[in-house]
Amino acid sequence: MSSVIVRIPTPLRGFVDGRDQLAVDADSVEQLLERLAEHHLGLVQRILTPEGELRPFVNLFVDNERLQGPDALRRRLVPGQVVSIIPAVAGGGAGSAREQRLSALRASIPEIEPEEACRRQQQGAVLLDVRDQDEVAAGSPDDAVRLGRSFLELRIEDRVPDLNTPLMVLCGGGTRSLFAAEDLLRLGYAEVSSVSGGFNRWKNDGLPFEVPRMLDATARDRYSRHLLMPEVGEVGQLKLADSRVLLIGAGGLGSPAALYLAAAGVGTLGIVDHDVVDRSNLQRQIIHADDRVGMPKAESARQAIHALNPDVRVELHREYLDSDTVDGIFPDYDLVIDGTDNFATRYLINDACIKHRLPNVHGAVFRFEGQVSVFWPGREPAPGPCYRCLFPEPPPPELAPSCSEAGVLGVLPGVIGLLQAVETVKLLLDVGEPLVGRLLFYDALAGRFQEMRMERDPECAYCGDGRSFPGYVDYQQFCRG
Amino acid sequence: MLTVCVSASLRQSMLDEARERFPEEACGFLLGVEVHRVDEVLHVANEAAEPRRHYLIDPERYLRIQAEASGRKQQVIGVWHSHPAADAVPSATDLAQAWPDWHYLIVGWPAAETPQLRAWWSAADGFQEETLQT
Repeated sequence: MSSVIVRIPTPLRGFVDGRDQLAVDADSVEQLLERLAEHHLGLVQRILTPEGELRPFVNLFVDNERLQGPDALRRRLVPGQVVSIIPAVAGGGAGSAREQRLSALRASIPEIEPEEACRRQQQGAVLLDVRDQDEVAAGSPDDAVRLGRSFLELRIEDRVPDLNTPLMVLCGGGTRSLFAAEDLLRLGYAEVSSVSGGFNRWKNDGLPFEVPRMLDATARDRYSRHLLMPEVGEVGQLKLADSRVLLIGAGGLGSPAALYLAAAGVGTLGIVDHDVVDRSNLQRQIIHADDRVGMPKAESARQAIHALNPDVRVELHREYLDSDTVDGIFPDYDLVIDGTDNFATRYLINDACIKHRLPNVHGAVFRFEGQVSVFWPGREPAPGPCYRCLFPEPPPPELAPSCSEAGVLGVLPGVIGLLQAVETVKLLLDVGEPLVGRLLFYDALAGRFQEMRMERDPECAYCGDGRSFPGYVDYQQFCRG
Repeated sequence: MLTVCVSASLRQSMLDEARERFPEEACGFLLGVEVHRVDEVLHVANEAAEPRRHYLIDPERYLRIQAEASGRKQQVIGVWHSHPAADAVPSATDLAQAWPDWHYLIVGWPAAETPQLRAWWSAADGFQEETLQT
């Protein structure tokens, strides 16, 4: 039996009453550990597994030789040898690059509790939900700005232009929001925080949320070019889907307007036209087709619209529009597109739009010329003129020949009808400056647009200051002079 | 709160080494005669396979350092290492691999303008932060 010295490292001295070394009689390492276990079981438990194998994070040295391999414990010992127990010293900052990055972000991005975020939201801070569409579809905090992570940097300034607006970023669990918050800080937003625990916590804490109405996958695909535009986006596209537009006439102006509005996703198109498709219409009325000659125009238009966009609801009004029928039709719509070719109906539309406070998107064509405007005396807070403010009375019939009498370049109603469609979409989305108080005049031969200012007439018999609606008249008689 | 004494120059020595080794983790030993006063800071090579995420000290180096310290009546009273991209707070890895009754000094964000240096006492039930004194 020989006596060897066992050197105890500082972290394990607690198991041997603080001693830095022990003298043990043993002929082998195995025997040495057995002897140690008799009085210092805790120490040996730190060295050996329950199965009696050397733990991976402990090293044994005999003098300066490290014991390794399956026979390490059977190593013979001779008197005077020193056995050192050496702990493996290891550790590290984080388990993965992601954890390291998150740790860094947590150190630099302030995190706030959902309840605090809700309180700050009431005080004007913007809650920014950066989750994906399908997540938002299942619920999102009330009044949150919803802007997915993928377009965040590109679109945030359109939604929150003031870089000093405090932003609180929310995701599902409070991790993605940290990355998003960092990007927003880089963009220049001065005060950005991340909502701790994300929407999961928000919901669990009983804070207010809604299940927002959203476009389905087919609609997202169809209107993807609109969705890319911040002026339209999902909110705007839903607005269009909710809109009801009445087209008076499915002719030269109504054809392009109806098709493009259907393509744009206007939810309901009403069409007033009592006429049938005539072959002579097809030179310009592109909503109709040769094989539908003889079909009611409203029905023909419906077929073309549904072929283009089956989601559009088409309401047909085949009755003749007059003083008796107009009040049964107009109040159901948000806006009226005047695509008529006669003065009697034009004045009727004007008067009915005044009565029902609807915007009247006016268009007219004659040979090589056309004009567009928006007549809207009911506009708040800046009312515009009505058609009567400009033309209190119709011109004598001999000075105002219709297309069927004077002819029209077939392409021209396309230009004017589409300008009407553009004005319509602007009004529905409430973007840009509508042609209220302005008449856009197009001279196709000269290739020139001209804009004319139009003032509202405060003495106008129909929309003048303080005037109550005077009632409809016999428009046929009125226009015959 | 527990305390550990580390002079300003020793602290600076760790910060400098950690910055020097960035983006890898730096590591080394803390030697002292008394358990709660660091007399010497040693810088040791990081032998980890992924030195940007972990540190590992060669046990032979430990053996030598322990023997040399013992000759000077010193002992290994702890370990220091850096977290190149994290706070000076013990990570899960640190916790899993900690030895009891040692000081763990951690340098966080060594390349940052104001790197962190924090001290932790490794007890049987986990880490407790210590006050750093000079």
